[in-house]
Amino acid sequence: MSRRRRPAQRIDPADLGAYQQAMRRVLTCDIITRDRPRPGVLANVLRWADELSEDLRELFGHTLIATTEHVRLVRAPDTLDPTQRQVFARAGRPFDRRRLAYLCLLLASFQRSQVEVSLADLIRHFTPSANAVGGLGYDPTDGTHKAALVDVCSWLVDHGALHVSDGSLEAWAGGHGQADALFDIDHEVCEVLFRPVRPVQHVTGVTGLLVHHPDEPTREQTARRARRLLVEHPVVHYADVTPDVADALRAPGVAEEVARLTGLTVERRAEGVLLADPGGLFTDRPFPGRGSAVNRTAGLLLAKIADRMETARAALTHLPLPAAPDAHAELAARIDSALPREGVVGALAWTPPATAAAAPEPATAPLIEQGRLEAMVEDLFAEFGAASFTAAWQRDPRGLLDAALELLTDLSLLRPVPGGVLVLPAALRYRNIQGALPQRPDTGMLPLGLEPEGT
Amino acid sequence: MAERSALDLDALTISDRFQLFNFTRRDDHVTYLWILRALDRLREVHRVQAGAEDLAATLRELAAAHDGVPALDTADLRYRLDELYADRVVHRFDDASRAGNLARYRNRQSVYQFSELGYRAYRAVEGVLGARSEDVNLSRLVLSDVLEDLRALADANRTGRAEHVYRRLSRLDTVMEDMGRRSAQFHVTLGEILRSTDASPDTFLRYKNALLVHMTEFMAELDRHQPRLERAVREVEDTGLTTLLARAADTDERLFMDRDERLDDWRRRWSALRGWFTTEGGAPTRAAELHAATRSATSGVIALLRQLTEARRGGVNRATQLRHLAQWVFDTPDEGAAHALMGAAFNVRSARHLGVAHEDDEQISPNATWWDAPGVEVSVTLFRSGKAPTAGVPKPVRRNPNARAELRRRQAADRSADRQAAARLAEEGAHDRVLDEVDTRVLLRLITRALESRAVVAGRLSSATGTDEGTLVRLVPSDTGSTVRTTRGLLHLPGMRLELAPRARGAAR
Repeated sequence: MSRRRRPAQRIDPADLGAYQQAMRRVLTCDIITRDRPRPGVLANVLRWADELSEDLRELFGHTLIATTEHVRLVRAPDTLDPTQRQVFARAGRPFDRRRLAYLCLLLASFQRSQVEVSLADLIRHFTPSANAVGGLGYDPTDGTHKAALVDVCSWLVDHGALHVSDGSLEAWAGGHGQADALFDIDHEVCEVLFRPVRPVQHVTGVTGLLVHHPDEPTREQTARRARRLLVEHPVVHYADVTPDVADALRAPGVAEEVARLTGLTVERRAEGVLLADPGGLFTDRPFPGRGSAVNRTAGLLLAKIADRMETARAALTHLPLPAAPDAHAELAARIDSALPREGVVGALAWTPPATAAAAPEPATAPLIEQGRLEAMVEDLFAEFGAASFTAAWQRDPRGLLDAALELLTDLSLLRPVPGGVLVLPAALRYRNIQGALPQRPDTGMLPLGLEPEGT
Repeated sequence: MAERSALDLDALTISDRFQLFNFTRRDDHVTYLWILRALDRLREVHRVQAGAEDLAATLRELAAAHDGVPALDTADLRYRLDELYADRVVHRFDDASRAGNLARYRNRQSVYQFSELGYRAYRAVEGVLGARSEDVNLSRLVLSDVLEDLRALADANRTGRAEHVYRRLSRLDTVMEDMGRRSAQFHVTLGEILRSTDASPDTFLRYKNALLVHMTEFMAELDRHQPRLERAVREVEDTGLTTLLARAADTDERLFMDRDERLDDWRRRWSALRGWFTTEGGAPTRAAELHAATRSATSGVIALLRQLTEARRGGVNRATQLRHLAQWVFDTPDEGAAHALMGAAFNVRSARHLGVAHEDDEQISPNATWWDAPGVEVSVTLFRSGKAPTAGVPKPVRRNPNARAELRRRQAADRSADRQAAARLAEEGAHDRVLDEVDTRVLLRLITRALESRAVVAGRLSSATGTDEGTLVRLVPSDTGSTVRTTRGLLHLPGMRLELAPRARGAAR
């Protein structure tokens, strides 16, 4: 095997920062156009297009599509991720299934031969196909349907697939008389937006949309897989990955390569490895973030949990950690239960080979019970005052708890199980937030970890 | 030509003529159409007038060859012919042929004949019915005909052959009209094909090569001929346009128009022809417009081709893939599954990382567990107050111009007092008088400077000097010492004598 070159090898050290920033952009932003995520970014990324696409191909197996109008990373997807909800979202609110289905149908109704289309015409094309989907439908008199359509169109406008040349969506949604909107369709963007690994109709299950890993992967294939995990996930626990990938991650090299490419910092511990982001921008769910109520509550919850683990570690129940592959298989089964069989082109269908997933030994993790979590949030409300958790949440501590737990779950710091959450090791790296908790009155007694009866 | 003159018809005439098409709106319009077809068939064999029996016979003949020809008895037929007469599609005459006997004379019926306009209406309907949108083309061969005609026209006008002028001009007119009609038809048909390919991409794919070749060839030919045609039009005009049109109008045989009308007509036609090939005031020629339209149609065809071949290659169309996905995603049991599916299908996701890194990660062993390793330094303020620590809002600038002006004034006054004191000291010296506050302050400042600059040489004090602005002070060693009197008391200077002098500019140092 020829000696592999180092990542970002040809980059002048003085330019490395700019290159890393371009790399982070490409990996976080689904499509970069002249105006997305903001003007000027496209030029900064295109400057490095050649080096980026070379590094991405060699280190991750990804393909970078870079034209003068847009940049899009076509990944080699390994896993299904139910937590990536900000990709299809508007103003931070993830789309529901209706909106997701509308998005597909709208994209399907753009005909290549048209460049310009009015919203009224678009709906005329779109309605029959929406009505063809059982239970979906489009009813022009239904406000929620209209709102969904507006959200989807706005998403397409944000992504540069549509440009409003006249009128406005809001006017149409308001339904003032003959209000309409005129769009220009950017077919090139539509083309790159939807890039499945295989045609959707050629798969018999959702795992067909992922890349297939050979049974006997070469070292390089394993290393690529490890890099892909590292660059996209907050923490990679050795227990969650196959032994060969874990070995690749344990050895120095893989993580450092990715760190050099992205400007992150490697943090390697006994349980796993993570790339910490000092800038706090290379993520779709920033944490610690800059002061949203959910972020703050999540941090304080971690502090409470750390506090509890330090004071009452012996009293905690430890449960075996559900292994990630199981969760993945279960998710795939749920998705496959909805597969419209009649739409699959059977003759060309691709069935992923059944691989016997090597079962990693189950680790255990401490459990924090649901009741205790609720008590923690109530304590926080009492200690800091409900009003400090913003008007939106001050009357809804449970909702805030759920949102904070969801954030922490997405960040792989907690894992929900029936009856509570398991604390994953990396959660303890934020133990210093305890400093934000109010000081307890010093009773002069050492904590014994014993709980009074009845709590 | 007929189409153009229709522009001048008034509303009444138009509604009269529309009435000719009434038969297409009747309940059994197909029957009426077959009657007219039978009538037309007889007309073709120069039986201009036909009775109901003849028509019934013709219909029977037609029924043998075609499906769907209605069988009508003569009474029914006669009723329908009368309806057509009411619509003025046919004229009704009494049969003028000789009956021969009384019985026949009594049974004598009307005969029918197409009216002139009725015949045209019938032909128009047949034209629409028989239209085959596939047989359109952009004839590139026309262009060389046009060029040839233009040259012949110029020649004819130059040599004064009026009949030739007329003939060439009418031929040109026909050719141009044909070209306009063809190009319009072609683009309309092409548009329809592009719009409806979802239904039948096969038709399109079968002809795609021929279509593209046809369009590019036409464009090339147009490019080649365009300058020559423009030149030819100008050449014709150089031979005298007025004469030319006058000759054409004179030779024109349309007898129901007077000469002025004919002249006007020809002038209009010439300007239409001219508009095709020459520019006037920067507006693009119609030929150029046609060129542009053809070019954009070509790119449309190519885009469509790409779309179709993409669908071919994948075996499935993107649109149907997306519809399939919509169904799938809508049926998923929960939102998480839906997003996971969408992310995988669109192949879109974002990276996610934990914020805040250790400053000194090398200090921590990679074998330590997260349970035991120290935590990262997080801004505690952020979590305590819910706000990120910042330097705070900049304070507003406080301005107090009056106070500043007063301060400046005071400084200026002090400085001028100092200057005056220094001048006084230089002039009058420090001895032999009582120094006031200001004088004393200046003197002390001068002495301080002098003392700071003093150097001790060989255990003996040398004299020292200090200056301030314009005054030079010299401390000269003196055995007796000296005393300066001030308002605050006596200043003794043991071992020193003060010498004060105005400092010579640049010299004393």
